[in-house]
Amino acid sequence: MKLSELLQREPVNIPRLVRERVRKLGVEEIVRAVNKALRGLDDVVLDTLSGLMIGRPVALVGTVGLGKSTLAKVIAETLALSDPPYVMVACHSHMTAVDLTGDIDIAVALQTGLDHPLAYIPGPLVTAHGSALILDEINRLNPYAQAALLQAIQEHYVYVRGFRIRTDFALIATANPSEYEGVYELSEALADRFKFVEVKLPDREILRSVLIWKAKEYLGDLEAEIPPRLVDMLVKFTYEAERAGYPQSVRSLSYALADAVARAWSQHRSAGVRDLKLALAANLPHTSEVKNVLVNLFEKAAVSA
Amino acid sequence: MDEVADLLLRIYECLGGQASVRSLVYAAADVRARAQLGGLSWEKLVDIIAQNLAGALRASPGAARKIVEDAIACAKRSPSAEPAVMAWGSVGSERAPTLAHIVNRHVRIDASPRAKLEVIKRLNLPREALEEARSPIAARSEGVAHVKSAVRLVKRYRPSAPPSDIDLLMTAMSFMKKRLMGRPLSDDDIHLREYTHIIDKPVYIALDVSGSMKEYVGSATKLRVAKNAIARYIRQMAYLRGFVALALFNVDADFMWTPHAAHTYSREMIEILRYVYAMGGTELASALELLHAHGATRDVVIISDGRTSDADRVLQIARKFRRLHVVATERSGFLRQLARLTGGRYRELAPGLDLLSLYG
Repeated sequence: MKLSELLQREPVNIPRLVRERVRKLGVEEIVRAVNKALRGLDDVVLDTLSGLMIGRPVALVGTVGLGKSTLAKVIAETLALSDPPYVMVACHSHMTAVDLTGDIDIAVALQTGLDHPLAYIPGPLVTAHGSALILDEINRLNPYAQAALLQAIQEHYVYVRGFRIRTDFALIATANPSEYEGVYELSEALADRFKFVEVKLPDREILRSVLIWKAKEYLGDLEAEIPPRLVDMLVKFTYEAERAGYPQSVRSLSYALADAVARAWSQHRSAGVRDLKLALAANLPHTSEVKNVLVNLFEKAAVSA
Repeated sequence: MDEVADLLLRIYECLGGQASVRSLVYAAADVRARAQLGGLSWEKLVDIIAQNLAGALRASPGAARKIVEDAIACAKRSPSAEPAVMAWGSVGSERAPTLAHIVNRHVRIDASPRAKLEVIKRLNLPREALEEARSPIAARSEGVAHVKSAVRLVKRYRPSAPPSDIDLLMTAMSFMKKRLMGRPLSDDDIHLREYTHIIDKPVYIALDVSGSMKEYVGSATKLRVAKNAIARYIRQMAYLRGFVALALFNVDADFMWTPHAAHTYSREMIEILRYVYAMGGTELASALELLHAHGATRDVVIISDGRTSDADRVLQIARKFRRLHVVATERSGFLRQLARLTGGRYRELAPGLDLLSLYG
């Protein structure tokens, strides 16, 4: 990308583009496309779309493993505002404003001029022009990077060493709830510009089908059967754990299920409660103390189920 | 669409301006966009508003939903709540802390006005107080000119004396004399005035800070006129070396400051006055009880509109007082009766009122 071209960029009316795409594809089609990858989040999809349609950045909030990042990717892919459909950034606390905007390499610029492809290496805020920008775990951004982002959202311009580059994008961010440790709060001005959509644990029935579906996907061509009794136990345990204050990740639950089934298959038998207990202990992303609590919860759930 | 805007407006009012206008505008647009996507129910409407306000409210979407639900409940209540708001200016018995109550939570009741002013500056004051504090107090001491000088005698200089006590005329004359005689100057040539305490007893002022003091007389509120009168009085008392105490009352009463020397603290006293705000109902008896408990049973100045909720109790307590001087912010037969009962004077609050004349 030449800097001189970047400087002459035309504004893109992203909300209008999104509205046109939604009109052309139809809401049902978009929901169906999302359902190929994720289920039980239809409401969240509509909330996200309506936010993007009015030009408001959307932040998907929820605990890990509920499919926030996947949802953001699938929505961006379905909308396909440009090619490639989205730019994705995994935010972290050491990210600087320059990481987001890109910077001019002064040594290259001096020798070859500003238009050399290596003189200015654009950052995601600049390359996302005309498409979707997905900021994964936005709450990990430190205040300095947040300031650069705020400027891009508010003014639709990014400033790189005094050069002003136009950038318009549909912004989808994902965030963990603020009670998680080791994350930064979004600054007040930035938070005010986002629509926060909560991604929750799906209903029992849907959770059940999601677990079976995902476990089957992970098992692939392994000819193993998933006992429905184990899935019921797992669903029950998930809700019990959430009530006890340990929200579970659907991702690790379905991996645990697949793990238990694969383990039993390797020993030429069908999976039982013991397999699932071991698999849970191995797959859940918690400290050993929390794991003990969770295993107890699971035993209770197994008995009552 | 208008209904959504109305709803949002009422939510905004109920949230007390917590939500940003930007997020409200987006919420309105978002509701419309979502309606086009289909499946918009009342529950979903509340959800969408909460999602859009969550950032401004600094809450998670779930917590924001609860806040918005509360605000909607409050918005539904508010039409019936209006009459109560109308009544807030008059008698009523609505409890609201006065500035004195707020400050005395953090500092001894008999702390000096200087300490209290420091507390006030560090406190998170109600909005009313900050709005009041914005307008300055006009304490032009036109009253001082006619206050008779209180000098008893002139004496020799001592190092601890404040410079304001130096009698410039006498000192200048003695300097001139020494110069003419060609002799060196000494401490003996500086003359000090010693004041006699004309007002030898502390003066107690009880100021009504109920909501009704926010009503206007002429171009200023009653509270403002009263503050100006008190500020002027403090200046005069500083000149006369008197002690002043100020009690604030609405439904409850408390000392803003207990008797302190006006000449030492006049600046702080007037500064504190700026922050005094009006709120709540009126109960004159509470002020009288406070003063009586503090042993101040004579020469008390009460500034009030007389719209007290329990007049009989006031008259009963007033019998224990001698000379209750009353400054009424509006014509009040009750207050006139109160003054007559105790042998005090009755005045009506006017911009040029001189409180000192009450003692004349």
